[in-house]
Amino acid sequence: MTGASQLLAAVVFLPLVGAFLLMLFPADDHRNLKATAFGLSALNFVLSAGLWMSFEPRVPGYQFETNLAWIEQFGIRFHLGIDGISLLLVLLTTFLVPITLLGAWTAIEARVKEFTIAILALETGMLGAFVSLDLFLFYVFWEAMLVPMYFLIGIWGGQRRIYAAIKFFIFTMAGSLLMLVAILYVASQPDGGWDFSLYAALARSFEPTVEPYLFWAFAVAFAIKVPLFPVHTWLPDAHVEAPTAGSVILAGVLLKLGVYGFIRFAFPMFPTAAFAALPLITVLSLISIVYGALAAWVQPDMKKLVAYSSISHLGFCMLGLAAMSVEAVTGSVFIMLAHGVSTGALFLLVGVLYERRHTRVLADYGGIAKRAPIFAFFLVFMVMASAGLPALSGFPGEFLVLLGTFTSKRPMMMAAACIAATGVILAAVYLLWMVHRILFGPLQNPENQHIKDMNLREIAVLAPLAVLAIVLGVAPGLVTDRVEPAVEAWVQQLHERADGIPAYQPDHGALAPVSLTRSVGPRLRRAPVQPVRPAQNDAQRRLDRLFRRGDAQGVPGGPGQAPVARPGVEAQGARPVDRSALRRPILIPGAPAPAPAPRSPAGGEVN
Amino acid sequence: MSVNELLPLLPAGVLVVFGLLLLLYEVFSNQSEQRRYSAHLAVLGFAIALTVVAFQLRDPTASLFLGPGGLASLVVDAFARVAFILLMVAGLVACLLSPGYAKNAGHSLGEYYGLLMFSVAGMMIMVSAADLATFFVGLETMSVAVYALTALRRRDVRSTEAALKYFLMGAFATAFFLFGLALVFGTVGSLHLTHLAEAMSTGTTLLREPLLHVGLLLILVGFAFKVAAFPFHMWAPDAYEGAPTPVTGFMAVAVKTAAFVSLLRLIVVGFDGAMSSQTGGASWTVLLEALSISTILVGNALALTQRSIKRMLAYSSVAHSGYVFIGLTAVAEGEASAGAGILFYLAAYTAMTLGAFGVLAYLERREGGSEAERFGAYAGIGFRHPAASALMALFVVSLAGLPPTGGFFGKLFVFSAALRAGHTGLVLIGVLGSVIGVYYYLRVIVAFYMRDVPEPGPTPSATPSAELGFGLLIAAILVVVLGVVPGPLIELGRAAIASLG
Repeated sequence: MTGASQLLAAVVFLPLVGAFLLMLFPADDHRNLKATAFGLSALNFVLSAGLWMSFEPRVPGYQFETNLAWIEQFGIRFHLGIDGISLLLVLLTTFLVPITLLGAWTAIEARVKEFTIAILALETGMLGAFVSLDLFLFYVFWEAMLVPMYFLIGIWGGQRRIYAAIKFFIFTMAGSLLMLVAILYVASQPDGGWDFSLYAALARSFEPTVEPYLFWAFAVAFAIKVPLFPVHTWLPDAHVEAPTAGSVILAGVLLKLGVYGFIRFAFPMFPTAAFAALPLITVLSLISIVYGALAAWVQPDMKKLVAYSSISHLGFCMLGLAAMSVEAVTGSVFIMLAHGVSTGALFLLVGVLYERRHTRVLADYGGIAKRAPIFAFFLVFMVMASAGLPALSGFPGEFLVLLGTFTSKRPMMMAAACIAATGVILAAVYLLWMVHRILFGPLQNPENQHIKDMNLREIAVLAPLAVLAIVLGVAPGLVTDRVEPAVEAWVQQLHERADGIPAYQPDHGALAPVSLTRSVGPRLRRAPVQPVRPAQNDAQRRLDRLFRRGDAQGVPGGPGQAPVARPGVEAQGARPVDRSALRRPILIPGAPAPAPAPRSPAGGEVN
Repeated sequence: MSVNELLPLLPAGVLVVFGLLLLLYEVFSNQSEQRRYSAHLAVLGFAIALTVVAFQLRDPTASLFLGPGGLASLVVDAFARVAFILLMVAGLVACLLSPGYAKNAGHSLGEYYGLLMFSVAGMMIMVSAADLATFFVGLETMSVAVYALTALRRRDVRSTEAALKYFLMGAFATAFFLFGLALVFGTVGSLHLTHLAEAMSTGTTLLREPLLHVGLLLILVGFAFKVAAFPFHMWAPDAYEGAPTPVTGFMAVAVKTAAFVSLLRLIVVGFDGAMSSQTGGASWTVLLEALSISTILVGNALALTQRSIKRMLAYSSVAHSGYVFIGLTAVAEGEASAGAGILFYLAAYTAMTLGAFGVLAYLERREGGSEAERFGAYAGIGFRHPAASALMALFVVSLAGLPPTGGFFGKLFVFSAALRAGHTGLVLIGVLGSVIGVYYYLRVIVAFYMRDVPEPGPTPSATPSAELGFGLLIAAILVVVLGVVPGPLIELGRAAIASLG
């Protein structure tokens, strides 16, 4: 265990230790409780910045791994590690938590002690879920996160908080228990033992009859969290009733765990079933995008509007995954960050208004810009970032997703990109409509006459988010450099490990000229992308495929026939050996899986 | 037979001696302030007995009271010793929870602790009995003591009603059980588990004997009654609601643990695989499955609609019996790891259920009156009694089966073993039940923390009892430790199952 991996464990558990520390404080010492919680979470952000510093961007695979025995009898290990994707999500989490605490400084006046403890416990749950490389550990963090969030909504929420809290809890719990059953199935080894590590799960292959069930057990749990269209109904309720702090964390981090779950677990573990499910996921994400946007448009309540806009934005994330190209998936990860920043800020701004006027109904406002220019500035700024104005955070992600979808080799994706593009337009419509109704027009409501502008603390809360929105917008390479190697390996392995799916071709065709990608970030298309898959590697893999089919049937089959021709279908016992020998190994350093195979020795590092 | 040979039974002996001492103490102390030490005496007895078991844990299997053919009536093996520990921890915590409650309810009786210790001694006979007649003696020792405990609030109408109901239903169950014993004896010619196993495994002609199956079915009914499995659960809510709250906790965990552990021994030793589908025993597995599914569904569905927390916990304990039956089904299919899972589940269940009833006993006392059993009466408690409420939240979260608590791992071990045995459908039912369970367990947290706080109630006058706090602390530590480092206990459980042979 190196220093950096200890740092990772420290980042995960510092908030929990802080939560225990806060339990010792007297309950009425509000100021010190808030200050300590804020200080701890800010310290945690600094520590996680250390992770960013020591992270090697070009290495695809997990870094800072900690792998300790936990429950040996069941093959459960305490196994942490991050790749580029989780690194950024960890940073997003540690960044948003102190901002949330600062933002809630005056909004939460009752039960401050419980509030700060809940937020810090929640932070450990979220961070743990992002860095777990053991299915069981992941599940523990995933569930442990629910309870503090439930308390946040249920105690400090609005009128219908209990309904919203229980709905949130039951929806998530129902999904995750199904996932637990699937985890148990996956971890139960054929030899009678147990192994919950993600590596072991990735090295296994499942019966074609079982794999779809396993995939959907995971996918439903994650889709509820995202939330994807038919299981999204808990989200508007939860957002509307949650206190501002709860909404910021819910939209900023918790929803990302759903997308992250698809990326880290559901897709790689069951590649064949995942590819079979892509058309359905595409359709559902398109519905989420358009329906979320339309629903946002007609909301009279501004918080509900932002909540539905989250559904629309997360639909883009899922569309990016469904497009299954490096650009699109990178775009998905980017949107996760950008959405965390812009939507978090929008919820904070809604909270600023609500604290002053105790109403979130759009019709109660109008002309606020005259009285609160600073507020107006931040609101317009963040709305622009959220709507995807170029040079702000919303743009690169949505652009990459649309680009990746449009050029995707998968059928009908061009149409999907066109439908999704309407979501971008609609986002501008509903967000600007909201800005118009809040800020501009005549100042009719007399109660708004004396509304106060944002104070220094509130500016301090929003300013970092605004700065980050610009940074992400003008230097997306900061993110994509770290994300892309991981995504690259991810997409390629998925294509290779799925039955009957041709290898991933990273060429972009005529539709993606270099100039387009350059506008996103000059470093986007650079780096280990090509070297990881040199030409001879392709030839090697084709040979492998040929060999595999010939071995099983003596008949070379086309890609479409491949599932039928798999050796495992007929001879079950031989199958795992057969596959693990032939399948490209997973590109994870230090994994107990077979050693990195026919990679060209010169290929790894050259640019 | 020398005295040394009786040493394996020393823990039970200690309990009986202390029980008798308590009765004497009651006679010779007529001042109530003298009586308040009876709880401490009982706790001391449990602690001594626990220490003895801890020292004997690695001892070889001891066979006592050899009968004809050299077969023992009592077998104190690792399995029995692990069960001893579970039962005595339950008894010890129940004793700790009692004094404060008893003082408030005005029935500080020395007999109370004496009866508690006698019932635990009876349970210890049950879990180590190697033949069904000896088992029956233990069962009755336990039952009679628990009937009396239920009736302890004798001026309270509900307590009396509960005791009568429990007693009458229990008498029925005993009759079923005895009738079953008679039929089994009639066909097999013995009540010893070894003979039963021989008859089941070799005598295929006997297996076709309908009377044997009827007999076994009746025995199963007796067990189903004791663990409150559907459709023999009707007594449970009334008895749980009426009994003094610490007794309710004790009944819910110890009686159930004793019955399940001895059923486990019966299935593993006595049926010896005859229940698995290979030997034509498929109907038995189906029966256990049906019992499990119906108990889970009915228990959860009824718990959902309760207005009183105590009744909700009662019905939910019915549902928990159903989850254990999932494990028993897997055991009957020959999946040995399910046995260890069941022992773990019972340990976690003991800690969290006793804890939950302990908090109720504490709050009932503080808030006063029977009104406090309703969910609504607990509005805002979370911030008036933060420590007790936080513990309650921990216990219900564990009961709901969320990590990182003992309840989660209990479910995990049982469900994973059942999955191994191929009972995917059963596990899905269990999961469905858990989701329903989450809803009603959350209602407790809603009531404690989220309802609007009414006018501040009367300020609590009595100081909380130190014993009760200590008991809750033990339960909470167990719940958390089982949830964070479940390894040692599951290892112990495996060794226990292995000792059954």
